[in-house]
Amino acid sequence: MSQIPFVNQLGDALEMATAHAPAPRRRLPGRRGWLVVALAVLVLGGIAAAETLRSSTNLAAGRISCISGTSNANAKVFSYDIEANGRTPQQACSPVMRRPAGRLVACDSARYGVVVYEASGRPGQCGRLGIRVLPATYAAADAHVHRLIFALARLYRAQNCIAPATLAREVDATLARLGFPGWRAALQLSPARSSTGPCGQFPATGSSASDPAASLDNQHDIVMINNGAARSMDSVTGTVGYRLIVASGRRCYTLASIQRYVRRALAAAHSPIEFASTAEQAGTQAMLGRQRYYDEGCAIVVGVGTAADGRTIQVQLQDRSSSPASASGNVPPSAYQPVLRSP
Amino acid sequence: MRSDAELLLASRQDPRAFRELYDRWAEELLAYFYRRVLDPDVAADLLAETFAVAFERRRRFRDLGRPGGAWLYGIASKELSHFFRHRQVEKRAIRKLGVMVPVLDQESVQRIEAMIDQDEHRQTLAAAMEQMSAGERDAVELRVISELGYGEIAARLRCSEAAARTRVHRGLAHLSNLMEAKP
Repeated sequence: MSQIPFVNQLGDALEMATAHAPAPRRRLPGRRGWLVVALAVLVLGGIAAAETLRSSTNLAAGRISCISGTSNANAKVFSYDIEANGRTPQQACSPVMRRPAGRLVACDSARYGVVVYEASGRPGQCGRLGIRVLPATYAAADAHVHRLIFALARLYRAQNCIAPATLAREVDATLARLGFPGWRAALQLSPARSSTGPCGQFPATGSSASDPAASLDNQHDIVMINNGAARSMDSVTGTVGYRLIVASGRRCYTLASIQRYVRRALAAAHSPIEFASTAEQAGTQAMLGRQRYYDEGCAIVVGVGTAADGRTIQVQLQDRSSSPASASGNVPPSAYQPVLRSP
Repeated sequence: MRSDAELLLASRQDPRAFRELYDRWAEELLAYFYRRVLDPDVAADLLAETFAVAFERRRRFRDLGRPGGAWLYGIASKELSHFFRHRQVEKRAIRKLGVMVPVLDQESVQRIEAMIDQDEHRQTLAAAMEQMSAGERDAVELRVISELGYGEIAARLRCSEAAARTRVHRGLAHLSNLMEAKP
């Protein structure tokens, strides 16, 4: 018996399910079955050449997993979502795995894409792991995908704000021009309540507000496009915003003094600033030293972003005297109590 | 006591042997998942899918002298890899097998969190967080520390819900990597 109730409950659920699971049956294909197999071999053989380049493209459009070990069974460190950025998968994994690229082996796992292992020194390592060697066409496909990412980045940088539908059309044209048959742009616009602005952008990642490499979905052959703020606004909220959050964990601000401080810090942006203040949601903790100040009755900054109009900077504050935030998982912006709007 | 390999071979005919194997490895695998994803709900789902896959593939297990646990960890690492690549736990085997995965209760969450050395983990976590970019740290903080839903994270980060998920999962993957890489 485990001390964790969930573990016991899951064990019971598994036991119940497995007790009623039908025993798998294995049988050789009959005459009709063999005919189907033969036909499949013929058809697959016929399309193999075309499929090779296509699957290499999709492989290159995905990320790379670095497995520190010669197989999954003896792996110690796993790193996922490594971007090749023009390097070979072995070169991309080398710094993460702290091994020279020459001592790494890249394989093609049908389910997980490119997987890099430490070389075992024995030939046929990928095959022994039940996966394929990286196809010879991978390097060309990777360069092809790299050209696409570069073109998408250039599209995004060409204007400060490009409408999502326009960006989608231009992405479609780029995909056609660079030879990505079957790929298309897909608009994934946020609902109004969490709308982030009138501009089209690629999905944000931790290191970028709009990352073309992160927009490639090789499972569905699409380039994802979100809506967001203009580039200039993202730049302001991304850099100054985090500085403000950190600053509010270094000393005690009143609601009024933090607003003065924020306005001074954002003065160079020449944008209207909108403040919203709530009490913290029960059970949540603010990091970066802010919780202590919040508990002492100080006001802290919890978020800096762009309003749906694309030009107003929204600053979310928390202090104990404000109304509590919604207890539900999603807090619509309307739940924030506007306390001041600067001209 | 039967070895893991013996239990796996016996489970082909006797599902109770599979339960014995589950009882032996479930907590350790749960801790393995939790250390990497830092989210008890995700860790619980990964555990369920791992054992569902293991049951489905038990006939493919060959006793080559390696511990049966290594075979389970192989499945677990694949499920983890799928989670980090696709930002969601694969539940194909759970559905196929018809497992009614129980809801994770508060007591279980507390005990899962208590399984890992909190002090050492906290120090490792703090050091790893310092190495992350501001955007990643913010997303991870909102999800893991503040325990906010993706809708609210999206509202706070002023991005779409899909982008918030991407940020959080990329951040967690990076954080997990940084914590693993720590000597």
